[in-house]
Amino acid sequence: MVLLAWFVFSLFPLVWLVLLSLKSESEQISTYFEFTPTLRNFGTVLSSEGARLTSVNFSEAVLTSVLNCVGAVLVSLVIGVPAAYAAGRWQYRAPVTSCSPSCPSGSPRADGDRAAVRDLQPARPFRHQPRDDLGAAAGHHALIVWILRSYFQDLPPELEQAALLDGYTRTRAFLMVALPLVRPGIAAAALLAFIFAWNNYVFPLILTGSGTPR
Amino acid sequence: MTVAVTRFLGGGGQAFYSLTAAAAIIAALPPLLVALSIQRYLVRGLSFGAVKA
Repeated sequence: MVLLAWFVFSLFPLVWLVLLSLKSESEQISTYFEFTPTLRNFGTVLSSEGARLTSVNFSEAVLTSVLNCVGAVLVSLVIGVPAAYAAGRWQYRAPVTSCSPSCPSGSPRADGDRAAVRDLQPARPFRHQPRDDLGAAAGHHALIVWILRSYFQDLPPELEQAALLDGYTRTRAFLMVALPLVRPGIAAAALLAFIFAWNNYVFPLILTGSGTPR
Repeated sequence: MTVAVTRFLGGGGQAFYSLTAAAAIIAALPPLLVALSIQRYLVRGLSFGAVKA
């Protein structure tokens, strides 16, 4: 019962948001609960009237965001999944969390670590175009690698060893054996990455600002 | 899109609270659709992890 009350209480901002969106200009500050619901606000937001008020075409902005976020998720998946595989499979002399560029080098393991780090870098370069929002990809990249790393670690290495024994290369074993098995993990990581990219405010604010060099 | 939502609060001009609310709700739809569309995989991912442990 208390839980239910807490549930309602914590969801109230959403209820309030929906109610507010259905009210007209004069009703929104009235203290009475009663009002005549209208969908006009949604129409205004999407129409040219909304564009006139904010000097931004809202539906176009949403579409741009969708494209940006899908692109950012794809970029980080393409780069992040192999990196996560490498991070999950490689045996480190030191725990991966304490491995820094200063850790014992010269061994193939440390080289592998550096390769994984190098994999992360292509997401970095900034393009000063809001449409190629690679900045968003760089932001949640570590998240994807980290989540998927544990999925790859959970996978029994014997599966790939069997594939290697049958003549698969490492790359093929990764693509044909390991990758299909962590598909649920990829879905979870992709969803998180999408939401993070979607909720991102600072990057778009700076990159779409009028003072931004194009 | 997040930037566009805040524009309805007006930077200097009038703040349109109802419009902001409507814009926020529209903005919340795409992630919801994405989440629903891959929900099948998510549930499988959870049970997969549980079996492993």
